[in-house]
Amino acid sequence: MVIQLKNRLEELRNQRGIKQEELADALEVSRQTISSLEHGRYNPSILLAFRIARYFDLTIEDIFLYEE
Amino acid sequence: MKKLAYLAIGGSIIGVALILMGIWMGYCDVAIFAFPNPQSAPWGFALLGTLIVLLSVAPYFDQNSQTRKQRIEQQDERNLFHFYKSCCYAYSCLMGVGVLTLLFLTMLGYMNIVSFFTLVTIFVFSFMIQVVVRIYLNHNA
Repeated sequence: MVIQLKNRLEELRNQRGIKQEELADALEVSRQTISSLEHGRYNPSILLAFRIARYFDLTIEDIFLYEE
Repeated sequence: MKKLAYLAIGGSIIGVALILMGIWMGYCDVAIFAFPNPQSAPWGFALLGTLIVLLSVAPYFDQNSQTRKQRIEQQDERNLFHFYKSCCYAYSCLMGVGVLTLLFLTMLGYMNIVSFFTLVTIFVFSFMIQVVVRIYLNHNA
């Protein structure tokens, strides 16, 4: 069974016209982390996932998709 | 930030106390404990005190001199993950060298039973901790 965690981070960011640097600065993480998250190379901690969700005013499930 | 300040103050107090104790033992020729080698005890206390002061003060000044961007880079969870992982690998290399040194010293007859088994126990325990940390990192990546 392959478990994948996909996310809509890039889509949401582009919808709101936010740059990676701006998002990284607001979430207090590096720009590389945002890039890795968007490309699915890194799964965030639950704390970061909450911070991202609060930033976009959405729930974690709205942003991160758990797929089996 | 506050935690680091407390660490710096606490460490400095303990360190300075140890340094003063070392100086006192050295100058007044006082033997507080029954050390096997009383001549080197003051040096040991002073060195330990100096190390504790440096180790406790360094993180505070390091943190104070950082810009916001540097702090974010350093505390970034992905960077921290890579940092801990590389620490584990570096530790494995260090331990490999340590075990070879231990073997070499034992073969040359510089180790007695107590020191040999003490070092072996430390190696085994620290290796087990390192394996646990690696497993934890692999499951939380």
